[in-house]
Amino acid sequence: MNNRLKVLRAERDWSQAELAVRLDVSRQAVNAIETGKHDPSLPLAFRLARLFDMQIEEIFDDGQ
Amino acid sequence: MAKAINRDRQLLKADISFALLGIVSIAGTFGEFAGSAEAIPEVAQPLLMTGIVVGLILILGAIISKVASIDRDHSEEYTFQLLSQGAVVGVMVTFVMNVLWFDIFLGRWLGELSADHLLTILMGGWAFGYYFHRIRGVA
Repeated sequence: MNNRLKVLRAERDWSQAELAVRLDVSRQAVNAIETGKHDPSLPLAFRLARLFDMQIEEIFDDGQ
Repeated sequence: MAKAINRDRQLLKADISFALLGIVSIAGTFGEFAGSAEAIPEVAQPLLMTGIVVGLILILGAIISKVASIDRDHSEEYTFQLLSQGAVVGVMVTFVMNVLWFDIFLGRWLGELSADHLLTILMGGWAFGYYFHRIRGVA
């Protein structure tokens, strides 16, 4: 699944570690999501959407 | 106030644990092959033994399911997915090795596997599965 996490994070000038702390996940989890190695669960996707004040579909694209 | 969990450290602990598990698995497998094969005693009461085994599967399965749900609640989802995907690989490797050794008779040429061997194979398979998904991803 494609996502804009890296771009959104860069726009806010956050490191992966900073984003990880805000989401209560590991830095490796943030890295895995950004590189498409891990699809977040729905609760984590909602946390991301709330953090960036966006809709989930604006962050993630399942290519459909 | 609840103590904040260091998620990076949690994942690092898993990395170290599975590296050790892999090493123990390899060392244990060698040790088992180097030692003498264990004798398997005959089962006196097959029906009773079946009942005990089924009962233990149900009781232990329920307890471990409960413990796993606690573990899931306290782990971040990425770590838990790595652990569970690794466990699936470990169980399947053990199952297939069992079939290869006992049903396809690899044991005839390579020596029989003991119960302890199967445990070391499970540990090795789980460690391999963990690192395989750690590198390749769980998406």
